[in-house]
Amino acid sequence: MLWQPAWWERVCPRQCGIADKPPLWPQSLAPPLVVLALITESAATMIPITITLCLLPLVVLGYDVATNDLGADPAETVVHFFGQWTIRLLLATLTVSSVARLARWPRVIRIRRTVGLATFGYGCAHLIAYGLLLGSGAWALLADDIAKRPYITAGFTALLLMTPLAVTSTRGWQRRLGAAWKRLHRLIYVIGFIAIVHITWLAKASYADAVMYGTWYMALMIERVWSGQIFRRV
Amino acid sequence: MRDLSWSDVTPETVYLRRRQLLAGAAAMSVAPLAAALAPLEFRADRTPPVDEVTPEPIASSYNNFYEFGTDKAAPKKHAAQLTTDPWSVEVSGEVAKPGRYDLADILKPHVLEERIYRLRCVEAWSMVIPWIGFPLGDLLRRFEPTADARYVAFTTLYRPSEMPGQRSLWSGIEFPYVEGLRLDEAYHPLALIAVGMYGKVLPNQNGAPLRLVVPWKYGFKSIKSIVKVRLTKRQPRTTWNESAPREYGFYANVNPDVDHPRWSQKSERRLPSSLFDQNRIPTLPFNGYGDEVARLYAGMDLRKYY
Repeated sequence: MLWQPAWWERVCPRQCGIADKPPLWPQSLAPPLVVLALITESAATMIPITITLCLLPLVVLGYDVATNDLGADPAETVVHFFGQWTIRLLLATLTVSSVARLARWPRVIRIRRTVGLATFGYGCAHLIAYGLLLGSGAWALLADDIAKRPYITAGFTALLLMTPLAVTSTRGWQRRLGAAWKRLHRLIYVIGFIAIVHITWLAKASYADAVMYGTWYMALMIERVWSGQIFRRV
Repeated sequence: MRDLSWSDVTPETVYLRRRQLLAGAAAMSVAPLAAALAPLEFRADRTPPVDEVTPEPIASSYNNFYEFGTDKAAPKKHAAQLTTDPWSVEVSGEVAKPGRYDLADILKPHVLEERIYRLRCVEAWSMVIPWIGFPLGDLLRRFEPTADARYVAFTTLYRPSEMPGQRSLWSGIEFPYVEGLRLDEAYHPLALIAVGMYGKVLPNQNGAPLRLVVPWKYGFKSIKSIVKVRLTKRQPRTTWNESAPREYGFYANVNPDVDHPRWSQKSERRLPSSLFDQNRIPTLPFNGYGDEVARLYAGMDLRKYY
């Protein structure tokens, strides 16, 4: 029998052999949901799907580049694009853990590494795009930007701190580091905070982005305190 | 090489010829302006080398007009809902002739001329735009500023019902938008009140029906959709200066030697740029209008008065 997450029992109680619980959705929806469950329960399908979803923004960007639809200031558009997806994926990475706890669905953790590495990839692309396209127009001057401009210092620090997490994301490192791995990877909370600071400091006209991502980040942090993740010793 | 001089930008002979062409169109109200201006012939004998004029679709679709939203594309998307007729301008303060003037009365005595100016945004991009308008000084003189008038303050329309950006909860600036100039800056012949561009009436997203254009200052000084003009004794407050005083000064003269705290002002991206060709050019002091305007700031420390 297929392993089922807790929410699955509410979706199709009959399929789970729990007849006394009322289903959350009409039973006619059960077959497609069974297919969904098969997909979301197998590493062989989940990870390729996650990779595809993480690459999808690149397809959109590629299409916009190909059709020359990046607006009057394509450099700005591209740098902003990578930055936006970096913070979204960073928060998505944190969200995976929360979903695993809240939905009592531990297997979803399997996609976290993929999302985390995608975050790092988009972050690197963000920096490279900035250095090549915006910045001061030359790599040599990027160091100057990083040193002189606090919001760039913050962004660069966040990316720098992400590097050891990306390197130690493999199973091998996970085994080798043991409990220290979990402590090390809590660095993502700090990185997330610095990233929000970066977004707040670079805002010129509107704090809408900073407020939106800041709220998302706060919600995830509250969930961690609430579920005892943050103050637990590992 | 972009070696620019005043004559490249607005040759006087061209003005004069345009004045003749436009003599009949002088007393027009805004509505027939488009039709009257459409057949304009310009830049016929400009001496090389001159800046290439930015394509009109770029200039009318990439705008900072936060009243309509902070995205560059938002003004074009939302500005169509702005009512620009009727329009009046309230003139007050240190003037002998205060009052509320109808737009037609504001424009009536002025001969419209075309001026091709560089526009340098504080965000380090720039465009070259053929404006149509008349000198700000000519307008101000009609209201007879008193001896006490030392500054002029402008206010943009505040109408949240038509300006979605003014309803935003997360705005980084206060509305209505206010700007100002020292009176000698305002009287400088380069300071323009624009009512059109590219031979046509201003699109709403570019600040219709009338806006300021001060080509030697960062774009945010060139306030759009003006409804109030006030002559004052004291330096007026200005929106961006209030929002972030360390980043935006009252003067805001284009100056490659004074960086914005968050980015360099040494160079600019002349739009449209493409992804692989940034079209990055060095920024010039006073946006290249130093020969004309630098004397206004003689003896001033431009690092202090940025």
